[in-house]
Amino acid sequence: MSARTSTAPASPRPSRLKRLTWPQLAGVVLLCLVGAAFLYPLLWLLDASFRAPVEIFQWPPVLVKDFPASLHTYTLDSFRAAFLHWNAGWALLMSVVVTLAGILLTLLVCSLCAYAFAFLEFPGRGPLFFLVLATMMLPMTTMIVPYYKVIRGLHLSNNLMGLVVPYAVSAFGVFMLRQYYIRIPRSLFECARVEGANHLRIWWSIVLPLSRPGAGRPGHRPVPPDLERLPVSDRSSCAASRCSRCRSGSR
Amino acid sequence: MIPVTMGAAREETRPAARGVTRAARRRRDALSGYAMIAPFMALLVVFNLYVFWSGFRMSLTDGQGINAGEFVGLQNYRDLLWANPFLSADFWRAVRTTFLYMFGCLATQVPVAFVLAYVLNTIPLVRTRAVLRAAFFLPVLINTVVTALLFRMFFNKDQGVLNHLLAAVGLPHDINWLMNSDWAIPLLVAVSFWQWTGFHMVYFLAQLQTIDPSLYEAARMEGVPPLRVLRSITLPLMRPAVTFVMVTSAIGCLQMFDLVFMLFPNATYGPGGVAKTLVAFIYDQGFSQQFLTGLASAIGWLTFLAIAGVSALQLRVLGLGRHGET
Repeated sequence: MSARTSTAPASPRPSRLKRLTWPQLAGVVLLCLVGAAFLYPLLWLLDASFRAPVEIFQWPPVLVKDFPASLHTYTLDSFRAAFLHWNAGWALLMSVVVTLAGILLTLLVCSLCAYAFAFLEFPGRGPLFFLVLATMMLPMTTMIVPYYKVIRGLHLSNNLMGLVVPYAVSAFGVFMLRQYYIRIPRSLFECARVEGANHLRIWWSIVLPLSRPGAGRPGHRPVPPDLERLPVSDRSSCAASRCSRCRSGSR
Repeated sequence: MIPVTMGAAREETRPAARGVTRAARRRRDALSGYAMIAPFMALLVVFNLYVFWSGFRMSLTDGQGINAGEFVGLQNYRDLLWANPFLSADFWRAVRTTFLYMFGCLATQVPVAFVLAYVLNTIPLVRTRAVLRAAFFLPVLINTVVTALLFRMFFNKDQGVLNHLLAAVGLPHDINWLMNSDWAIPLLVAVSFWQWTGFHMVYFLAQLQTIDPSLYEAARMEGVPPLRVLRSITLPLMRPAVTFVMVTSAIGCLQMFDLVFMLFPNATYGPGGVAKTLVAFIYDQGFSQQFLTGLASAIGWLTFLAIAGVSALQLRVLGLGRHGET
């Protein structure tokens, strides 16, 4: 209920509330009520996780019936049971491992693909990109039977990789990253090209660092980072104007 | 300043690069292009396209478990749609359940999410708005399995919080929610409402905030009544967002499985299986009863066709968003 009380119209900030018109005030009250209803099941769950089973289903709720005293009956028994008896720790670890591995693989594979679709010309690029987009429409849940057979056939069943590898196929990821990449100013790596860096190198050293979430707020043009710090090529950084082409251009 | 000089450099180098090296460079670009999309494409072929193709081939067999089975043509489809009375009764009931659930979800979530976003957008208090938005969004972050278990306790007849709440306000409170076939689908709709409305609301809110305030300013100076502003400015500009939310949530609803699997005890899909959705039907036929993989794949393909049909219809009726990426 803490969220509700902090936003309730009666909270100690009358000066700001005074600026609201009546319809706006009615809106705030309405939203607070609906919001409290939305939060109630979660708060109940949170409360129940600290209680002994006998207390959970009592009515009126123990927390309400004798408010300050009921806080003393909180216990960590459920958590203890979860970790000691039901191995929740191991499950959490597995979730983290699978998620991290999945993110890493997705980022590498999808980003590489998105780079090619964003910057490289090759025959069949349009149809292939359309194919990738079209697979976004395929509901994989309806194909659980053949999916299971494929996973089994690749010896990925009963194996953590079976949870990681299939999730790297994210057409949405490719689409999103490509939309982001095409907005990166090409001048950022034109110089690296001239210096002889290949596409893999540009992708790894320039584009991939730029796709960090900090730079990638959706809807914003990526801010060109300080060029001097970009590891553009092995020999030198381009903006230090040691690169012959840039020097000739600025002359 | 730096980009300007680099642009100049590029202009200057172009003529020199043209000619001899251009064809070679283009070929090299094409080769690196293919090499760079290769890992993703390989995974896409194996885990998406091949799965769909092999699902189609499997749906033409009477395969069981890991046995490939015999080729039976369209027999599975015929059985499901009309030929086998037991199967087709089950199948059409699953279709009905799934579509009722989808309509229920769309009819409750989308309008309420829109109203909430609209009201929230009129509130000028920034911090209040952030807190409320978080409150509505929080259920999205909870795993569906946890949500289902939470509501299974909530709807419990004797100990559930819902019946206690009803008793507290003097309403009839002896309904056995989870064991009443009339309530099975409304319960699923209600839980999904709790889970997803905030998600749609945040999307609507983001779109509302992209509307140019000068439009509203102009309407205010002209003295346009608020309802007219809503109808002529807000709604047309919100159309791409509405289309997106409708299409994606319809697709999600037609694939619903985890909620119905976990909400009712012992994977019964409601009393007598009234709430068995299409994907639950696939799971039942393919994994838990007789391992009829051929039949299950046929249901999968029919579900896929239903999803494709519904999406196409929605896009036709609502129109594709003209703002591109919505």
